[in-house]
Amino acid sequence: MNFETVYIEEDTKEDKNTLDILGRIKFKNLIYCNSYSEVFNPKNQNFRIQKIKPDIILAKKKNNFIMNTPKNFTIGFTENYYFSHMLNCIYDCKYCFLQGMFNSANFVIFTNYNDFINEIIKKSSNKNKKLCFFSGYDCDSLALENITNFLKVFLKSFEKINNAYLEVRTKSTKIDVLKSIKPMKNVIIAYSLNPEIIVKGFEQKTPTLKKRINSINSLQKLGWQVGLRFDPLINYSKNKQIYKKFFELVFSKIQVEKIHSVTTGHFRMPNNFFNKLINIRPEDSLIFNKLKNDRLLECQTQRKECEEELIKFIDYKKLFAN
Amino acid sequence: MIHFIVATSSESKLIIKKLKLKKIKPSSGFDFFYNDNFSITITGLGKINSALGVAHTFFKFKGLSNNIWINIGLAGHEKEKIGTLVLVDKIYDYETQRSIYPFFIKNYKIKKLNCTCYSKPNFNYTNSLSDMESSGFFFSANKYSTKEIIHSLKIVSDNKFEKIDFNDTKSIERIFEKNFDQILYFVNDIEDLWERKFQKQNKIKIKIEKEIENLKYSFSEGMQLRNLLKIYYNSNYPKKIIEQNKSTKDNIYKIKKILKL
Repeated sequence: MNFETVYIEEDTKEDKNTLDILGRIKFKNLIYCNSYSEVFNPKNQNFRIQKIKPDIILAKKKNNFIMNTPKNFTIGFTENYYFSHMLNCIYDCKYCFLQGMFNSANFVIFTNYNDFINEIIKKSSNKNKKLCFFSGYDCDSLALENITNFLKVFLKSFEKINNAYLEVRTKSTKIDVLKSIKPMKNVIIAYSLNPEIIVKGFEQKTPTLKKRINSINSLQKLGWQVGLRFDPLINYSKNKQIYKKFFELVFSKIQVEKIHSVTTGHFRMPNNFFNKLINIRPEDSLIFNKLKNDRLLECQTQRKECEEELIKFIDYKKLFAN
Repeated sequence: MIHFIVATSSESKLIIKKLKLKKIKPSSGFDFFYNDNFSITITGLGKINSALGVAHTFFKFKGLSNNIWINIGLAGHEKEKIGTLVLVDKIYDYETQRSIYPFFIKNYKIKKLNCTCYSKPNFNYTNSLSDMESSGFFFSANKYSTKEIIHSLKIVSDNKFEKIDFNDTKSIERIFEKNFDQILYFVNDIEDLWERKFQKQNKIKIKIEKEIENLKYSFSEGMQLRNLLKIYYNSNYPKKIIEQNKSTKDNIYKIKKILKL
């Protein structure tokens, strides 16, 4: 992958992971900074312009490695946490909350991977509790793996924590890293899926539905646990037939009995993120305003209808609404 | 519009000549020159003057946000050849120790270096450019525009071996002349980006303000109306929608009905 500029925090420039990443990418310009936040956080940056050709920032996460998930966010575990070794994503989904949350579209990679695992080990010290850690909240966990090598490094240590489970949420079909290691019982590869018409209209630069289903098949054949994430359901009530056919297609192409979990979620975004989204994507403002209005009026019905469809294919115990 | 910000009259001369800019009279503290597309402001030396010059320019030219801001000026460097044109990729303010990082959408054939901005002339050359305006310029311009269309271009005027005569306008003009085509190419490229990303929205903004100028509305009605019209025109409805003989409330109702909101 080519980058115009690589920014490196001064105190991470000698780290092994940083040097390894530099060896895997091409770039024209290297600039040192004191903190990633100097580049990433200032206001009055244009997310859409930066998205055309994002730069990369290599940094060290200093604190808050592991965060609590929102209440009721679960795939069956009582204690749930999330973490992000990366901020931002190579894809350009129109509905993505990251564009409302961040001022910059540059990729930040926190290269101190071991600090994340150490925090997870600490959290998992009570062996009687089963905990779930979600990766891919502020990024796509797999999409930049060929640059970050995060999973390759991280999974080796994670495998040893028997009471901890990891969800790797992704839309990526670059599954080479998962092909190269032995499938792990405590890791769930969770694919975000939507009907192809929604993929084309809303999920720019992402792999097609067909390619994602192919990857799910490959992973299931290898023995990986796979989850399905129908999140966000776009305009479900008005696209009921589209979604019905889509569910039929998905469940006809995969090994349903081996699916770890299925989650659904509607389009949701805090107001301040939403306003920013409208501002930077004015051409899509009508559709997002409609989606927001739908959310208020039809959210409950949508969830119920959708669940009714999904339990035709899977055990309701595996179904979660986030 | 593209705003050039320079510190001295000698740094402005060639640009004024080449772009055929006219002087605004009276000067109101700064010398402004302009045409339909460009302006240049001579701010005086130093980062405070530069910041003030940006602010004055902003209000002088209708206070439109997200215009292009380009700082051009002379700078010192340890070993770069005199006359070398440099694009600044990091501005470090020596006094406040704050840094700013301009964003480049592509690779230009102009050398890139970082620049340290001092409050006094600095002749202790390092491998960073040294100037006296860039940080004031950027911090100020970034209040009015997004950072991707704010840039600082420097021409090396002195190094540890030699320096130009800063009082010799002709020699300054010569090193500007040598780099002018490259500067203009760069500025045109930023303008292309501006056209792609901001021109349509600026036109819509002007259209909306014109359309509602004779309506009476409260603050919140005004906000709602502007937001709805923004959605309306961004959804490719070509026709004017506001009916001047109807109330703001009725117009809001009408737009909502059309947009099905």
